[in-house]
Amino acid sequence: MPPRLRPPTHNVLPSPSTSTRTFSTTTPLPRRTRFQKTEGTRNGFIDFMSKTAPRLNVPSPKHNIPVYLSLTPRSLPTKPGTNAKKAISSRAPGVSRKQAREEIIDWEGIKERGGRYTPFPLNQMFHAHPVISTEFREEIVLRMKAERSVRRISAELNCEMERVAAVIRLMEVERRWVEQNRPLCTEMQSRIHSMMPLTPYTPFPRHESITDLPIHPSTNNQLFLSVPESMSFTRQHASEALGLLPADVRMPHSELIEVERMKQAGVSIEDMVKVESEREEREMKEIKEKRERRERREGAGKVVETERFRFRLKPASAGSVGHRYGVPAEDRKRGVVKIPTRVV
Amino acid sequence: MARTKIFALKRPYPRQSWNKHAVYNLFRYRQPTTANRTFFQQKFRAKQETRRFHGEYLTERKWNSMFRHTLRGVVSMDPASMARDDGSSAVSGRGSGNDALPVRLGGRFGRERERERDGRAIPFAQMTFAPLERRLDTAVYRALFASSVRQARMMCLHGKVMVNGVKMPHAGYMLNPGDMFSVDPLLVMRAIGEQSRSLFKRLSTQAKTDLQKAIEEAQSKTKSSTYLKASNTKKVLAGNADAEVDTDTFTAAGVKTASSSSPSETDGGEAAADNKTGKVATTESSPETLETETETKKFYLPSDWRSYLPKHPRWKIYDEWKPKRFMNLFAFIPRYLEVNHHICHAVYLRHPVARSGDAEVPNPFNNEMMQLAYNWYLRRR
Repeated sequence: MPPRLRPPTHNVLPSPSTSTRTFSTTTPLPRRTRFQKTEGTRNGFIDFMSKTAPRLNVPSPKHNIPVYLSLTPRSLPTKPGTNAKKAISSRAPGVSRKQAREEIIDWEGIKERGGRYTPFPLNQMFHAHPVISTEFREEIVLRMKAERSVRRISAELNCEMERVAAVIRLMEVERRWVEQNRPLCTEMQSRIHSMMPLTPYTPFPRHESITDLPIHPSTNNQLFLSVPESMSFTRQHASEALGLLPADVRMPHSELIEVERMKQAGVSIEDMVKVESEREEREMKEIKEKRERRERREGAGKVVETERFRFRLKPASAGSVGHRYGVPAEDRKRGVVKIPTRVV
Repeated sequence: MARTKIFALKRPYPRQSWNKHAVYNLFRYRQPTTANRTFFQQKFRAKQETRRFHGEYLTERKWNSMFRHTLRGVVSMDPASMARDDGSSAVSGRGSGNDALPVRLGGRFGRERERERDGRAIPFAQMTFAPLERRLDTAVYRALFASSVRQARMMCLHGKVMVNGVKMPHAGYMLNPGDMFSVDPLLVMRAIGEQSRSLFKRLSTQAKTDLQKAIEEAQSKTKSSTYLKASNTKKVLAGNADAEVDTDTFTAAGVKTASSSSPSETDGGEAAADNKTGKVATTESSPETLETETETKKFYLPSDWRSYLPKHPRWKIYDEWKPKRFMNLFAFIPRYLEVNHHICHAVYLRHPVARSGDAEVPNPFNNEMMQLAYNWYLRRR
């Protein structure tokens, strides 16, 4: 065993001000301790429940401004021209700091701006979109009773067509419940609505975008096409190259393009209304014809109503249609998925 | 079902639940670091973490069969600009349109524009778990009819969920656009409402004493031992004038009178009653021995003591419903659902989509993580 090197004795007292070490002296980054067995996990939870949970658990938020998960306490914007520090220092006697701070918060401004709420602080790409209020729902039903089409209500209220149709269905169920004297959960509905962003009914509400064009998978791939230089390549040409309908047709509310065109051409409002009502009439007629045709097709044979089923009997010859008699059905076979794919 | 312990404190993962442990774990959850990890490790880790949140009760095999590499997205079109322009300006010039504000690389202006463009990009990766949103149990949870996906799943399996008016006991039923599903309102109100404490705990000591005395009195009269159950509640609630309404005010009144009434009196009465009917109570019906913390006094109650109390009116919950703890953190309804809580019905409008700067699948993980998870399931590793 070689003799141990003795430490140098000439520099017994290190100079306190200057470090002679060459390696980094910056503070190390906090180490990731997620999978370490920490003894404070339960204590940490108890700490969270006593300190942070009261800030997060807000069953009835003030002024219906929703409170979502935030890692740090959020500071709400104050009214223009007010200073939080000044307001707190110059508060009236008997007013607490908290009250003084809350008094200068610009609740109306927050409501008007209607911020984008991100319930998950790590994901800025998910937003809590507002839902329509109960007055909004009732307005949709009122307009439906005024014999306006779903398409028109949707365009008027800036609300997707599917949503308008769904609201009408739901309100019909609700009306039936009221008729049957079944209780409605009005308290629960109002409490839930007070916790989330809400679109109130206004004469011209802006709830959501109604002209969302679905991205067709075939448009994701590159397509090389040689085109004459002098040719102006329009949406029509692009759709032909891709073998799709043009965006002007595929888009929901494609009729709005025509309306805008008329607007830009300076067509008078009376004419626009006339054109629109004609188009609506035409569409209604088409839908009616389609429905009649379907009913005629379906009601071709004899209809036998039983308690559970509605048999539509069609003339057919045995052997050419249906399963062969004696062949067992597969609905109880092993390995076959039994979950129904649709409920009519 | 995969596992039952899902809210570990030592190994925290975000879960789809409003449970207090789930909230705590979500609050302290941070994305795993990707430094010094191979690409495979990063993907595997991302898959682990995201799958613990999305459909953790499904086997990997089941989820793999549901995964689709095509992700749905939409582009919001402006009818005014479409009317103005036939689209030829987008391919004018050298084929990519005339740019009024060209990007100057490296400059502050260019970087700002890039950042802005990133903010407007469609977050397709966030739609990786979109097929799960079609499942009936997830939709029930998203519609705020249950406080966790597992609870929603339980509701389905117990046959409490109807789809288009038909009982649907399969939690894995894939909803089609336009499907209407519903749950019994009372069940929903209990599921997402404040947890009710057990009735006996809510009663004050005074109320418990009163109750015990009254029951013993009733039982001592052998002939009409059931008159209390049948006729009136006033006897049970003796000494509390306000308490006739329901058990809640009964409790409140009991608290009020607890300080004023002398304990010796009640004790004496009780002792007398005990002497008379103690044996009867023990032999006839198996008594519940309950001990309160404040006074080490034992309450000997028959097992059917609940039937001596006035019934809690069933309609009360409709008027006095209170949300479950931490509900506000999860109180959002995605755009692909339309929910009516008046009747606890909801409609699945369409499949969830991603749009510029916004994805419809509720998800606590950021884009990078979802991109890694998506890449894992592409099976090209």
